[in-house]
Amino acid sequence: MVLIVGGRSQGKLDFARSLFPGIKESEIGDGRTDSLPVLQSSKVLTHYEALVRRRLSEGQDSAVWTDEYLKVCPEAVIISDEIGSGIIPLEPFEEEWRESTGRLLCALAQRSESFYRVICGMGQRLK
Amino acid sequence: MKVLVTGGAASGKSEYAEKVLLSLAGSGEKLYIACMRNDSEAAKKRIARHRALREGKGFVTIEKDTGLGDLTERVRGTSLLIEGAGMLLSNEMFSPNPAGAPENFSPAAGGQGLSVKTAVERTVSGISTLLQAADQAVLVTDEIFSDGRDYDELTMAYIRALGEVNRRLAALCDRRVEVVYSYPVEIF
Repeated sequence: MVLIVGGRSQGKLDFARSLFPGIKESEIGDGRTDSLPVLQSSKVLTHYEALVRRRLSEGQDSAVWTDEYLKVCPEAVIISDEIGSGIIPLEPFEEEWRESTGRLLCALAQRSESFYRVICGMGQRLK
Repeated sequence: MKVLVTGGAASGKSEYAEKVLLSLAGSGEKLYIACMRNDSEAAKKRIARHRALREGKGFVTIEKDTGLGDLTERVRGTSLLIEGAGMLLSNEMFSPNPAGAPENFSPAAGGQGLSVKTAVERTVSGISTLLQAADQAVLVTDEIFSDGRDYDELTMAYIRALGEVNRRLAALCDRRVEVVYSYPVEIF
């Protein structure tokens, strides 16, 4: 699995395309909008942070889902916005989302074969 | 060696900071200065998480939520981990009755705590005194500068103040590292 993180609108998906020129649009799942079965079979999962949020709003943790996804799709490319560099949210849900997204991404970074952070369209390889 | 470790929420910066300190520390005493207040459920959870992380690593924990300069003699010659500048600044700014505050302090907006300028000075001088007194030290701070949101006046003042604290303390350190989801990125 390859993990790509970065702030909003930094060109993370384009960077993924440049790393893997063979990616087809139909292989890209969007964590904001696609259903879980669609995501489960997507080679590229973008907006992982939004998926975590959606599931959290249904009372579900995403660790188990992510494990299962990686079993089905061990070569996945997971893309996530970084959401942790702000003031501690006052709303408990917002704080839980921020916290759990961070911990999940730490675990994914540790498991990844390679880990990139994209700034200004440039992918910095951290692992 | 003095190292500043920064990062966003849940980025793995505490764990990384401990690892760096343990790699620097010799056989001498290892001190952990905990600045977080135990005043909410979220804070209690965090404190418990950090305690579990430190367990068995030989740290002596000192809880000190304001006025770090008081500990100068205590930290002399030790290996020191301070967690962290963001909490300390928040305590200095927002405490209704900051311990050891000068008697004539002028309250910040909102009628609580020290003036922002005084809080910044107390944070920077408290931490920098300890960084100088310790043999080696790792200072943890927070990245709170990139959520693109606007907040009330006092919160905006806090963001600016922590930016200043980070810049001034980073200049005193030999190494600066941002932790991104458990991986360190050197800041040159």
